[in-house]
Amino acid sequence: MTTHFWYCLLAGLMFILIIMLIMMFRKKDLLGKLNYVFAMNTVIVLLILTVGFKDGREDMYIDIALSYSILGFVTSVILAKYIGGRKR
Amino acid sequence: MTVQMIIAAILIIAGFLFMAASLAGIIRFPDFFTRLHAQGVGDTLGAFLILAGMAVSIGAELLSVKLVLIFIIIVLTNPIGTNLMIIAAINSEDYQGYASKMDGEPEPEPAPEPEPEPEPPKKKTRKRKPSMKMKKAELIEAAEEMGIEIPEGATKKIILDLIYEKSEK
Repeated sequence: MTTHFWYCLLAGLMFILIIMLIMMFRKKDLLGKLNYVFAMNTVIVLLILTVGFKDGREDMYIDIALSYSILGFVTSVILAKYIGGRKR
Repeated sequence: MTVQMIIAAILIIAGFLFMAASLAGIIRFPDFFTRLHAQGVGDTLGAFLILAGMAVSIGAELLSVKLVLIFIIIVLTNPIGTNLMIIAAINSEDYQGYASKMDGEPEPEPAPEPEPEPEPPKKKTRKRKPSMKMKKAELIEAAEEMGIEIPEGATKKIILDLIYEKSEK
């Protein structure tokens, strides 16, 4: 695949990421912000992969994406449990 | 441009469109729970199509198996995270007024009752049973209330026995 294609995909994903970041700062309640944080996890994993494909070294970046997906999930779980989630 | 590249390009573009649609859903939906649904379903589908396109562009190697592994992790973790956020929202106190919306009109809050004036602390009148723990003067008082004659030089035990005899009768 040509590098032009991966550059376009990179630009598109960065656009989505910046919009999510701006909307996260505009929200007022806590759980709405957590919603955007959780949505950014998937986008960042795909972003790492496209950077790897663009440079031609895809075998280096896949392992990083794998571990980031698990770490991001653990972070979101800890945040959600801290904010609420206790039975009253 | 082989067929492999064309199929990969189509899959990646479709995945990107689904991700953009899920982002539009998160911004524009009116309620918190509907926004969670848009994010949970849309993000997973977009990630699946993009990862499938990347796997097709590589071919049949070990790397495509690793991409499938990433997809399995995303499919397992996205619904669990959404579920935990729902639990956090429900257990907080009346998030976005859901408790009042479900029943219809919200119940009017009861007017706060006027607090009663603080009464002076009552003095406890001693109504203990006469026992050996009481002092001799108190025992003599209790005995005279009941109308018992106490001989002089009586010990506490004798006074207690007289009291019990009188109360048993």
